[in-house]
This record gives sequence, structure tokens and C-alpha cells, in this order.
Amino acid sequence: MEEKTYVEDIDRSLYDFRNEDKDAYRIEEGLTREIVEQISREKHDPEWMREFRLKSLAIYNASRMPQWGPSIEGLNMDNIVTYVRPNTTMQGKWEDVPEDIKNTFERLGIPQAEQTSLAGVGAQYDSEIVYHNVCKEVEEQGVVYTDMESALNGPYADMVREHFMKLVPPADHKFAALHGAVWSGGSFVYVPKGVKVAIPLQSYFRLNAKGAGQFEHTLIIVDEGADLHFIEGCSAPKYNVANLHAGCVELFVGKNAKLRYSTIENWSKNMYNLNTKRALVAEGGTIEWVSGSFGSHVSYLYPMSILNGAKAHSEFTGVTFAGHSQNLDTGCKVVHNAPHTTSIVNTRSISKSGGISTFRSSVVVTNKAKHAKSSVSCQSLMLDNISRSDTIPAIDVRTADADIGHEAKIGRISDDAVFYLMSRGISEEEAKAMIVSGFADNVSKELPLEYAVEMNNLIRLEMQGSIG
Amino acid sequence: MDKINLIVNKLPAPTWNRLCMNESSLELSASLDKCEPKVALQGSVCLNKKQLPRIPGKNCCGCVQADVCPVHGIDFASLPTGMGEDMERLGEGQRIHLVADAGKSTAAVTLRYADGQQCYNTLEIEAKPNSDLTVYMTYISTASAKGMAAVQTKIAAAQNAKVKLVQVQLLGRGFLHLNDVGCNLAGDARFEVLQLQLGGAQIYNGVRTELIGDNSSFDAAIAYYGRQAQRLDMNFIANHYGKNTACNMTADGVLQEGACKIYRGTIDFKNGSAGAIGDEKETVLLLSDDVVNQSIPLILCSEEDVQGNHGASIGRLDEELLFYLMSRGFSETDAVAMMAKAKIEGICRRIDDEETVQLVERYLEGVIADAE
Repeated sequence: MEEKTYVEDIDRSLYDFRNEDKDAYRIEEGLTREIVEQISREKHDPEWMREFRLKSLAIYNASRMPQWGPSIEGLNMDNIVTYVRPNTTMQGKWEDVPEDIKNTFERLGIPQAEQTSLAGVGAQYDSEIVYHNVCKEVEEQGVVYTDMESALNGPYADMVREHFMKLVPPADHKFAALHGAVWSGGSFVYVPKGVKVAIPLQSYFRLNAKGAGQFEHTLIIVDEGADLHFIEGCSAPKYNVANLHAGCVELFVGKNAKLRYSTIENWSKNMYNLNTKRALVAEGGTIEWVSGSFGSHVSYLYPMSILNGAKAHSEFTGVTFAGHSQNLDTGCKVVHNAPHTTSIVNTRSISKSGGISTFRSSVVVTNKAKHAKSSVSCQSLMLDNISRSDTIPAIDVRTADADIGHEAKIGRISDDAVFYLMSRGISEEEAKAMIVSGFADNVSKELPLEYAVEMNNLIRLEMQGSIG
Repeated sequence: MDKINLIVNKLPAPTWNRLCMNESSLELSASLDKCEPKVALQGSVCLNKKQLPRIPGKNCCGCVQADVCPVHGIDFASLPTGMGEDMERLGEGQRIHLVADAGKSTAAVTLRYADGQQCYNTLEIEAKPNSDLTVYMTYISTASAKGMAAVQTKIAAAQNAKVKLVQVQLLGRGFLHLNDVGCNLAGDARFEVLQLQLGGAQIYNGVRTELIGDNSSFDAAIAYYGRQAQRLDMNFIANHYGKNTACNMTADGVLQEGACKIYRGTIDFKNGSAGAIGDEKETVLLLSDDVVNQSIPLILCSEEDVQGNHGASIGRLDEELLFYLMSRGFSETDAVAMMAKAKIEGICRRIDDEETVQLVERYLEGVIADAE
């Protein structure tokens, strides 16, 4: 009988620590009109936002649960706390952040990263941003990077109102409606015309509270000819009750602008990650998604690119690692809605220890998208036969002047490759770990070095299991 | 007039509803006519006259064994098909049952439809161990005829049996065509299906194969020429259960003049199908700007030791190829017609029966002339 390398799950000990939330304000569990109005009051919403929340709640109540993806029966909204405010206001210096929260972000390496490789940082703890800072040089370029609450009530209020949930309307799906009703926290970024932000901005979302939901809203507007790399990180400690993440990301990429949006998602295994991300790309603009999905119990995550201007371009590069008790349904959507638009999708998924990984995508080419080109490649690796890996790619083409290619592969680690590496003196377990790391390098090579190292560590350290 | 509503061609794993790809719905007349097929047999195949009634959802004599009834043999009623269980609601239609014994044999089944007919036929094929059967099925009518031509074909291939099913659809421009195929394969059995979908107005086509026995294999090839607002709705499913099973599915077609096509293709590696290989390839040539092409090729996998591949290429005629052909003296229209014809001829080359090939060629000449 063939011996097998035991590949361990991702080690989440780095992320799996928790603080007592004794000083935090928690709204009561469940989802009612009173709760939504209470959140609105806590957030000091303008009147239009209060009404928007209530309309979203009505849509949520009238919408059906999704009928096509992983089961979310374990998620009971009656048990979810939709708003938890930590016992602090937003600070601009780490030393002003309460000790336990500061320690949390230090253990996650955020202040260190800010000093070495970031132009600005936003740190959200439960439902509120607790730290926000942007470096002086970037601020002087006119870049706005602030929390959503400040943006909603500050000089950019009109811009926020003009764009807020216009790309992802509450009627889009049930959890978009939920987000519209109870959203809090998140970041607002505006990059003015022609400004190129040389080093990335990062927002980190930490959900500490047991049985809570996090509903941050990220709104980024990159104006004509501008350039930005935005990094999003997220994690949570593990509890024995369901937590929920239903964030929303709306990205507006202007004419000839470029935005790279990178995510390393490492939620705990009790998390239902029902996140919605969408980008609207104008003429000559580029959106690049780099996405690593490692955590959560159930994920529904499909960043969408709407290529709405001629020669707009999108790239999606993703890796998903589904281990024990995880059902990660990830992928992307692309809509070609203008001439000469192009898209590239390149994904890898890995399933092990009973984990379920599904790649789901759609490429829609409308009749306006003459000379559109799209290429989709998805590869899946099965590490044992108790896991599952599915690919469900949809293509809808409505013009003759298009060139659409798709390829999918599924298989296991090649015995020949392992044999070759072993013949060079590498142990079997190390050889397999190297192959799996290499399999995911489509994402790691697209990340800034520090994050690529973090991602590789996530996979690689824990691949060093025992032969069994 | 009474109607029957059916949900057909369901995707084994559904996706976003707004894409409208998960399934299709149909409304049919409940009153069905008889279309007497012309059957010609050669070799060790015969018509089974002692047919037992098919009871949808039940085994023929109530015995508990699911696949093979110890009293009556194969339970065709529960053999799954590509269009799905709703097709059983049409009853058993005009039914024939073929039994092929060991050795080589051929059956030709011709269904000729008159204008206005609404017909449902079923064909059961029992391929005994070591049999080698080729079945030609031709659906034909006059060019202007309207009606419904629904045919369900169920195949049970025993150990080491080989079944080749050639289906040629040359119906008139007003026909609704339902072509529903299901096949169960025992160890070392092989099922090959070749389809040419050339006529009709709306075509619903489902092929499902259960690769149950070890080393069984399934090869499907379809070519189509969608035009004049035709709708072609397909669902191909290969379920791998046995070890070292193999499937290869190809769909190759042309769309123009408002034609609309959806291709669903699923390779499902079930747990235990170690050593299985599945390949799926689709190419679609788009020749006019008012066409709709939908494709959803699935690979579902719960077994580690398998290899699954899918490739799709959708678009207009390659500009370099077109330039090459035009530099050799072809007009653009001729070059496009030639490429379209080549897709059909790829299937024709795999058809051994000269008469069938000639029938297709004659039909195709008319189609190409129309298009020009």
C-alpha cells in the first residue's frame, strides 16, 4: 500500500488568541428594526443612511437564502450580535490604543508592517476602526485614507453618498441587504487624478467578539490615471459558536487608473464568510485582484470586475486552501461590457482532510464588448480521498467578436515529481510540501515580499507533517 | 389542450440563478401521437417482443434490487438519463427493446415524422456481455415540417459490451426535438455516442452515463450547426464510480443568425473511482453578432487519484487562419462555410455507415447553400 504524507491544516495559533470584551458595548443579538435603528444612532448616521439601512432590512427580510452554494444552516441570525464597539475611539498613534487591542495587532504584525512596508494603515477591532494613520508624504499627494464613519460625516460625504452601495445594491443578494442594514467600520480611500501611491495601504479587520458579526464597508475611488495597491487582511479567534463576516468592498477604477486589491483571509473555522467585492473599471483602467482564502468554516467569495470602459482590464489571481471542516466556495465574476476589454483569471485550490473547495466563476461578454478577450485557468489539487474539489465555471458570450478561452485541471501530486525531488536528497514530506507551495505560487509571487512570506509560512510550515 | 411542464437538463451542481444555466423548463402537449420507427437489424441483435410495462419510479415487479431485477432483468425505468427524471412523466411512449448478444451487430432505427406530429418514442438497448452493437438513429422530416420529436434511449451495457450510438437529427425547421439518453456501464464496457444536431427549432439534448464497472469508458462527440434562431440546450454527464474508468466528451459547433446554445458538461469523479480520467473539450465558432453562447463545464471530484481536464475555446474564426485561406483564393464566405462544414465532417468520419454519411452530406449541402 502506498504511504501517504500527512499534510496538516493551516496553523492558526498565530491568529487564535482572544481578549475579554468586558468593556465593549454589545448590541443585543438578532436582527430587528430596533437594532438597526440603534446601530444608526450609535454611528451618528445622516438621515439618508438611516433610511437606507431600514430599506436594506426590508430587502433582507424579503430575500431568500442562496439555493446553490455550501450550506449555511449553522448560521442563525437570531444569535448574531451585529454591532460590538470596543472601549476606545479611533486613534492616530498606536500608543493611544488600549493595551489589549494594541497587543492584538502587534501579535498580528501590523504596526511593524506599517513602519517597514506600508503607506497607511487602518485597523478595525470588532465593529469599529480603532487606529488609522496615513504617512505624511501620501497625505500631501492629496490621498484620502480614513474610516468610513469620518468620510460619511466629513468633507467627502457627498462622494460617499454618490458611491455607497451603488455597485453592490442591497437587492443584489440577501447578505448584501444584511450589510446595507447593519454595516459599520471599514475604510474610505480616494486617490486623486494622476497620483501614484508607491507603497501599499492596508486595512486589517480583527473580529474578537464571540458570536458577533463584522460588516465593514470598504469604498475606494481611484481617479483618472492614478495608481494604488490596497491590502486587506482579516482574522479572528476560534469560538464554538458561529461568527459572521458580511463585508462589502466597492472599488471605482477611473480612466487609465490602476488598482491592485490584495487579500489574505484567515478567518477562524467558526466563521461564515459571506463577503461581497466588486469593481467598476472605466476606459483603459485595470483592476487586479490577488486573493488568498485560507480560513473560515464556510466562504462565499467571488470578487467581481465590471469592465465598463473600452480597453479596461481585469486580472484575478487566487488560491484557496480548504482543510478539515471547511467548505470554501470561492472564485470570481467578470463582465465585459465595452470593446477591447480583457480579463485573465488564474486560480489554484487545494483540498485536504475532508475540506471542500469549489471554484465558481462567470465570464459574461455582452454584445457591446466587441474584440473582448478572456482567459480562465483553474487548477485543483486533491491531497486525499476524503476531501472534495469542484469547479463550476460559467461562460456567457453574446457577441461574435470575442475570444474566450477556458481550461481546468484537477488531479493529485504527481508521483514523478515527488520521486524526482527525493532522488535529489529531499525527504518525501518536504518534497510534497514544496510542490504544494509551488502550486500556490501564482498568488505568493503577486504579493509584496512580506505578505508572500507570511502566506508561504501559512502553507509551508504546516505541510511538514509525518509519513503515516 | 392539456399541457405537461417539465424541468430538464438540470446541472448536477447548480450555480448563480441569474445566469439561467441551472436547468431549462419546457411546456409540452400532453396528447402524444405514434411514430412507428423503421428498424433494420443485422447480426446478433433482436427485438424483444416480451416487453414488460415500465412503471416510473418503481422496479418492474416490485423486487428490491435496484439495477437488475432477478425476475425480469434490467430495470430500465430507473436508469437515469441526461434530461432528468421529469422525462419519465411522458410515460413509455412508443417503445422498442433491443437485445444484443455476444458478437458484432448493427441496428438502424429511422424515425420519420409527418408535419404536425407530436411523438414520444423510447428505445431500450440491452447489450449482453461481449456484445458489440452499433445503433444508427436518424430523425427526419420534411424541411418545413413542424411538430415534436421526443426520443428517450436507455442503454444497459454488460461486462465487456461495446455500444456505439450514432444519432443524426435532420428535422424540419419547426420541430421541437427532445433527445434523452442514459447508459449504465458494467466492467470493461464501452459506450460511444456520436451526435449531429443539424435541424429543428428547439433542441433539448441530454446524455448521462454511469461508469459503474471498473475499466469502463465513455466517449461522446457532438457537432451542431445552430442558425435561424435555433435553440440548442445540452446536458452531458459522466459519473465515474468504477476504478480506471475513462470519459472523453467533445462538443464542436457553429452558431449564427440568432442561434442560442447552452452546453452543460459534467465530469463527476465519485469517491472510489481511483485511476479515473476525464476529458472534456468544447469549441464554438461564432459567426454572427446576434448569437448567444452559454457554456458551463463542471468537474466534480471526491477522489484523489484522478485526472480531470476541461478546455473551451469560444470565438470567431481565427484571423490568421482566415487570412491564410483567403490568400489561397477562398472568399471569406467560402472560408467560413468550409470551417463550419469541417466541424460536422469530423463526426461523419467516425460514422461507418455510408448511407447515413451521404444523408448528412446532402442535408448539409442544403444548409450551407441556405447560409450563403
